[in-house]
Amino acid sequence: MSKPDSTPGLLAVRQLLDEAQVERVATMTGPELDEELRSQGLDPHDAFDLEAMLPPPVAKPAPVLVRPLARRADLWLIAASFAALGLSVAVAAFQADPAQPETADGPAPEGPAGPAALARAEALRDEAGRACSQKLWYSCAQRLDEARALDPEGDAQERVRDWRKAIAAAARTDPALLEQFRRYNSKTDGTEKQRPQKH
Amino acid sequence: MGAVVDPYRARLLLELKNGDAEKQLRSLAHHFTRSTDDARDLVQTALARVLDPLDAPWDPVATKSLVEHLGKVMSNLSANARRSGRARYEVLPPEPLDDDSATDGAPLADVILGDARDRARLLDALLAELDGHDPEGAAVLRAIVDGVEGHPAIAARVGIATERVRHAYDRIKYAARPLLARKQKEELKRTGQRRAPPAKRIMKEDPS
Repeated sequence: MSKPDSTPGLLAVRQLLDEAQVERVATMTGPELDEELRSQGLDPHDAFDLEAMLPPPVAKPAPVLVRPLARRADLWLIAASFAALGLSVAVAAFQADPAQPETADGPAPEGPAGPAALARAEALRDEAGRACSQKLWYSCAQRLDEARALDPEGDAQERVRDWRKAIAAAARTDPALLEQFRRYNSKTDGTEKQRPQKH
Repeated sequence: MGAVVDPYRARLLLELKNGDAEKQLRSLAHHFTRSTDDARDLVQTALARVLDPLDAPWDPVATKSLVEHLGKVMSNLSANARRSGRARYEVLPPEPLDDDSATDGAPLADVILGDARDRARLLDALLAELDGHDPEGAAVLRAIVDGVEGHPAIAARVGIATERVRHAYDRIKYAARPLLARKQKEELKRTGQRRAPPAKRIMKEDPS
């Protein structure tokens, strides 16, 4: 009787025979296959539910560099400073413009968001989706909120609802994340309270 | 936004529902594991790997049948498990475990030994078969048995071109198929004998 001289030899022969078995069984059909199963002590009718064995479908977008960008806090800080500066200049110009009528109820209500704002909101939602798929729940929530500020109607999208549900589920199981959201919410509320109201 | 249908997943499902795919996979998984529970796990792991486009996706052009592809994935998974440190070096405690986890469907030691003996007999028969009509295939198989790894090393040992080693592999596998079939028939005969219902004993009525 042949005895392979080494463990690699033993394993390689076994794998070779296994591959031959795969090729043999893959060409079997009908009664021949039933006979094969019976020879293995298996019942041909005791079937596996292969569809149930498949893992559930998961959306897997192309990997993006959300995490490294989020880490670069200095860049975000600079960008946010410029944005705040631009906003304050625009508000000052708006207040100084005598042509703009001021109603008794405060400033004129905002009209529908422009195409640029809508496009930006959609881009933010796409980013949020990628962040959510990488389980970066905090980044995902931030982007969704930013998108909602630009396009409130878009927040009713099914995908957004799904992401928010996923974020809520993650926060329920992760106390650190929940605390992070609490701080985020209190910060957001505080900002709104400090916002000057016109009368 | 409606549910997005993944065409690759849909194609896999279609192939899995087609014909005898389930029986073929069950037979192969049981061949690798010798346990129904482990076979189920092996099929599930192989399906997950094939479904992942970054892992071991099925290319219908390269491999004609999905079952063959899944079978090769299962073969690799079992080979990796056999090569793993856990399989080779794990020392189980000598005292019996007193929890339910001690019971599993893994093959017993004598079954594993029997399998190893069967494989050795099969190897002898295969070498004899190849010696008769394919000396190059026989030489390649002997190099594999000696533990020579990799096509270039085998080619150098046998003294042929590297690409001929792959063809020799295919011929060896082809030659092994009827031998495996014969072994399976013998197994069926043995199983049938083991499972034959006991002859009914006819009891004579006691006249008293």
